[in-house]
Amino acid sequence: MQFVYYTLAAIILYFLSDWILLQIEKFRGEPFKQQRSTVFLLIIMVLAVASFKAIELLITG
Amino acid sequence: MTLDELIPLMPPFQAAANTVSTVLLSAGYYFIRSGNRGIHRNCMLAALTVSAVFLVSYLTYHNLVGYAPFAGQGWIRPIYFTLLGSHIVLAAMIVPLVLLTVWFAATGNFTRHPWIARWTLPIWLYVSVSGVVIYILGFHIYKPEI
Repeated sequence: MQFVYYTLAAIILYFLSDWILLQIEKFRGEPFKQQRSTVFLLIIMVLAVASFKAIELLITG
Repeated sequence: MTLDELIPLMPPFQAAANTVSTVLLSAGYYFIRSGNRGIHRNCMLAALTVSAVFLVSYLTYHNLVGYAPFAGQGWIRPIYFTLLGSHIVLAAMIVPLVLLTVWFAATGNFTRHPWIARWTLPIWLYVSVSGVVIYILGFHIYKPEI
């Protein structure tokens, strides 16, 4: 049932990445245009790999 | 919340589910290439769960609403329908492929599992990504006339 943690983490990361993207756009003062999806995917992938490794460490101790 | 209120929320939910599925599949691939079977298995099972929820939502939505005609005109139409056609054909193919891939892993057949996964993963990723692109084209760039 460990995969449930990964499913929940991925859903949370989706919203977190969206929030981070909005903060970056606020900081830049303009929205990303054509690259917006790429930047979003880059943020969520980095967060996902780090979070999944952290979950594994937490589960296995 | 009534069903009528729920229906307009279903397409963006399905696009989000496809995105989450894409992330889980890519992470799962990264972890198996790194030799971490545990995280790979959990990522792939999570992707399977999200995709199953997506499929239920997708079938419910199209059963209740039907298919809105694509509003785009001109050069975008052949591109959209080629993408949609390939998405539908491969989405139908991916269900037995995923089940077989999971079956080989669950039964410990690690000769056939990676062999079939070489086909399953790119098709599954294509279906997930093209689903998001179809949603963006059909619901945002070329909004349906309801």
